[in-house]
Amino acid sequence: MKTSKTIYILVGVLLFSVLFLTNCNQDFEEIPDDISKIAEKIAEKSGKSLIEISYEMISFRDFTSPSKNLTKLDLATINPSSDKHLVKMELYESGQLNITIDEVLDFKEKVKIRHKTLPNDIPPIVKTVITGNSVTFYDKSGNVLGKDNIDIPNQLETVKIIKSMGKEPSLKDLKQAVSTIQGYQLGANLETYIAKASQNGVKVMEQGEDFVTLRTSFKDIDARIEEEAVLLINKKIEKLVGSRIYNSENELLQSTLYGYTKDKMLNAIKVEQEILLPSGKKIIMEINTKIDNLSYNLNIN
Amino acid sequence: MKNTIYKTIFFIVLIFSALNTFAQQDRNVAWVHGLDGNASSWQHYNQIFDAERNLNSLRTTYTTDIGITNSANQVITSMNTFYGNGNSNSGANDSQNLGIGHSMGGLMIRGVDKITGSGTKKFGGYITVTSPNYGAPISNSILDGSVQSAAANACNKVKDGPIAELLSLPWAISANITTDYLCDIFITNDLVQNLQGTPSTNADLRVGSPTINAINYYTDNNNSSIPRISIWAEENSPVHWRMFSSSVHNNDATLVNDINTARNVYNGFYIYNTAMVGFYASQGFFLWHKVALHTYRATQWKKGRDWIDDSENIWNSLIKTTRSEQETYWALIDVFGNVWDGDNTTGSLGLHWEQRTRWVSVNYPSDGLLPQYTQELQGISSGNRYKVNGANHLEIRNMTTDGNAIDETAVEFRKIFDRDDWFETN
Repeated sequence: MKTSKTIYILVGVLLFSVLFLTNCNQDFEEIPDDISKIAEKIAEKSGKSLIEISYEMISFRDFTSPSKNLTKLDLATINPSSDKHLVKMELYESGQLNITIDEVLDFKEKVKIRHKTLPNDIPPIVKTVITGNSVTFYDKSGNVLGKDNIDIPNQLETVKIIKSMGKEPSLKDLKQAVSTIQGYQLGANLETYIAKASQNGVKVMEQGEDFVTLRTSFKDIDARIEEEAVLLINKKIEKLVGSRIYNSENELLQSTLYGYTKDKMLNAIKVEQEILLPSGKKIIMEINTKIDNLSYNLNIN
Repeated sequence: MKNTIYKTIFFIVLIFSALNTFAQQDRNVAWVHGLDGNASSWQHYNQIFDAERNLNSLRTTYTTDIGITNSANQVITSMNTFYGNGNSNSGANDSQNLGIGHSMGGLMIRGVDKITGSGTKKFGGYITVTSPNYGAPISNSILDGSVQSAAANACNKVKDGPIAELLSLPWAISANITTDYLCDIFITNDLVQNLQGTPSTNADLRVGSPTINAINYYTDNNNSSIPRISIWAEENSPVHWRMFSSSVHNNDATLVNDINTARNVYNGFYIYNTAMVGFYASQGFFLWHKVALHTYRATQWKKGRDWIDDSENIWNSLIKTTRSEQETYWALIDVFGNVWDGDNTTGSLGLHWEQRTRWVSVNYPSDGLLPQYTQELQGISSGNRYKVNGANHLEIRNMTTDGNAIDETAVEFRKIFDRDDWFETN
């Protein structure tokens, strides 16, 4: 009797040990060996991201009227190019921004310059994971190719905007929140915003039935920014459809057009910038960007 | 009787062995380095083939900043001193003497051939290895200011992103690369520095220089029968980073990986700013100026990333190994030009794909410094042209540094030494 009791105790201890060790082992297995994955885990444990944005982005770069008369050096700086990225961005309460970037390398077939050189046999970076201020690079097999620091700014201000929206934010709430944080007297709609524009340091340049043109500085974002923007707003859809950036000498630096889906989600950007070639000649660079499947989830408790 | 036979056979073997050794030691080989080199430049292959082919090698340091002809005269002096200035077997004027020259060293050997007369010829044949036989186009690009303007253009593009993001310059892009490093690499690399620092040699090395033209005229018209071989190298893309890497890290991969990191840091900032554009533009905020600012910043970062992507083509245009060709490709263009209407929400932009054809810049083979067309000697049969795959201008002097367990240059030298002609060296 005493023996069988001892056996039961021993079996029990053995079972406990096995279970304990198994659990320990599972715990160890769950710990990823990669720093960025650990950071992701910590972020997950500390709560869901406030906002998640994901989209596919195709970017195409070309230059207006490249002539064959350009020098070979000039021509070498203006080949057309295209790229495709799958992007996922998560913003946490701390202001930490995590971005996962998958570069779709075979997409470059859209613009394939047929170079006559031996191919690069060093594995390219196809995935970039930014976790706050650290960045990790992976090859297509998921092997870590390198790690480094990256100075992506903290987004605490954006967090404040989102947090103050509450559980079921209305457009009015959003605008109110923004007005509080930015120091803008925005009011509840575009008409009020335009009417009070001068109080916000925004100058109404021109206003018609469908569009309004505004000129504003970026001093509220950072006093060191000397550039100014002219913004073209479509009043019907209440969206920015064009912008121009000027330097402190009022020289045009960049023109941009924006396009939106029927749901008013951004899906097209056209940028034009004058570029100085090595020879001193100038040429217009066009970057057209197509954004597909843009979605974002707000997770406000 | 049996003993006598054995002794006779042993004696014969001994004599043949001694004769063989004597014959193998006959070949003098002068290993001549290039502009960037010194006595140790050819050490790796000199040691391999001294042991393997019993060469009688001369390997020393020449002053190369005084032009091709002056450097060639140093080769003559060195050979006279080392081998003895006579016509006897193994002397400096032996017709079995072989010259092997890397880069400018090949031109120095050819210069020796040109300036020595009958009876005092130092070489019976030679091998040029990645030599600028018809000039080094990078010298022309240095002289006409193209290298300088390419570097200045690079600086603008590399610095635009950090400036727009209000980061201090010089900015540490990654642990190993700064904005200044990327800016200046086209100028501060050892090869360009060596050329810039030696004006007379740089002028001699340019395409169309009287010195090189005279050497080629001599080869083509006066002494075309001399056995000669050229070895040329073709590097894998990206040729420029690999060559700079061989210079800085003594392997062709470390810098490529560092540049890949830097490129993807720029890409990270570009994507981050574009994501902020998507967020602020799609939300109902009136933060339009943030949309405009992040769009501008995204473009500035993209210019830096694109410069890194384009840099091989830009460098290749400086070393004249690009061609302008017509290319048809798919272009993503705005639907109605600058009209505020598209296939999207009325009053906003739309984009679609359309085919376009225009002139583009295409890369052609090089060793990262010299195009194929100047490395290969003309006027010789294709059987006298050898190629080392995956080698750049510097690492061809020791192909064990690429870590792939194959010494590709040694393989080509063995093919040459195993020929059944003048170059046979057993």
